[in-house]
Amino acid sequence: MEEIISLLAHFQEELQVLTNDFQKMKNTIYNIYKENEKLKEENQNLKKLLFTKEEEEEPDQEGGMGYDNLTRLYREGFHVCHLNFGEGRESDCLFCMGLLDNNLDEVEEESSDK
Amino acid sequence: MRIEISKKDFFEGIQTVNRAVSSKTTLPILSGILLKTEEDKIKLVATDLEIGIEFYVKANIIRDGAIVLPAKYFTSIVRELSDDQIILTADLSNNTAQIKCGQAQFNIHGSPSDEFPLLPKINSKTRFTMYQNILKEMINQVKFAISDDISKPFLTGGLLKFEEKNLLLVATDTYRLSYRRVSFDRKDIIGEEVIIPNKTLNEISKLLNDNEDLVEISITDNQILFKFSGVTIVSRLIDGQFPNYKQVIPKKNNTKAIINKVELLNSTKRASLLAKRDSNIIKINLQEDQLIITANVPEIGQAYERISISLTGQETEIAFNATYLMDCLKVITSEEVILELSGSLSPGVIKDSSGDEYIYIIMPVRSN
Repeated sequence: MEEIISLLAHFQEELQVLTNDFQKMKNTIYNIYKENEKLKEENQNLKKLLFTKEEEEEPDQEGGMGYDNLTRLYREGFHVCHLNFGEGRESDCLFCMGLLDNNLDEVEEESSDK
Repeated sequence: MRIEISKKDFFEGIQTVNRAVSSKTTLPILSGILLKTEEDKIKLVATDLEIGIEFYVKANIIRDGAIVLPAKYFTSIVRELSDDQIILTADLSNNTAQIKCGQAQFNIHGSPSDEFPLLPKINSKTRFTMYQNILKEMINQVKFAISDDISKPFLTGGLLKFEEKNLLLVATDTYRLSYRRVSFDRKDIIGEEVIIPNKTLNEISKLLNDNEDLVEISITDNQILFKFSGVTIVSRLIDGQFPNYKQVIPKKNNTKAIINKVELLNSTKRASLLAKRDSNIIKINLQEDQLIITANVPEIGQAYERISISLTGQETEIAFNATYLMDCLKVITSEEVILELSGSLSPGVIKDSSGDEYIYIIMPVRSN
């Protein structure tokens, strides 16, 4: 009988330790959750801030960037026309030049409109 | 089968259909020419299944029949016969033919005519006629720009397009583009466009006459038929979408020069004598009232020539592949050509003096 009582006492102690550990974990997770919420909010605010700044500073950057990327690809020796897009080119291509010239005209027109 | 026919007419017919004889040996019957009697004529047919040519020759038909004879031997035999009447007798039971002319006599083995594929019957609403000389000129002004890159089949033919009041033929190999337009008033077929294979355009241009006889053209979804001067040509069409050529035609220019075509062609030919040893690049310098053509090949020497021109806009310099430049100058019919440029790296435009009927766009070469 004594043995059982001793076992029960031991079991109670173990349970107490487990409950304490569980409480610690609960607190840690709560803290992480709170921190995550805070970071999300902060990220959102930063994104908003960044986009407003970009729009204010360079409103036509998107069109220009696309054109620049295509021009860079073409200069590096690849076709950018839809006939051969991405293929290596041996000499200048009429359709790539046509595409780049048209894009340039559009970008120029857009910026002159604004 | 037994016929009597003039050697000259017979040989002309054989030569005409011979262009469609297949060079591949996958289907042996296609290396032959079908001969079939029809009323007072003999019908000659050859096909490689891509293009088929049919030609009728007047003959004295003694006994009806049909046989396929091997084109290679049959053509050379008839070519070498004397200019006399030929008597051709075919024994259809063992598919052999006897060709007699003067004292010469040949027996050649043929094949049964029912193994020869029939040319498709074309029945289409898209049917029109035009002058043979106009079609010939259109094809000749465009065909050299057709690409031979079989990985892009839609570039290996010429685009025939019906626009409002115009009929267009366009070809490009992405380094140059050739465009020819003629007046054409058929509202019912506006918007139709097909890609005609290079071989078909080549063969037709060789067979068309330089006169105002008519050529009848019928188009279906995948075939085109040309009928003229006793010849019938049926060809398959190329599947696919021809690229948007309008995007390539420059809308503006900074320099415009009017140049005598023959002078420019001859100077280019001369400069090309040296240049062809080195990528065939020639430089063109446009100044106030003159055009200077130069070719510089360090290991051989230099070429220099001046031509008087009329220039409007900025002075400029550009380098072209001489062959590409000469290709278009050879087929322009007007005395003067218009050269429009927008800088040394942008495509050059060459037009005939009539304006926009013929447009040739050529990519410059980057030169140091």
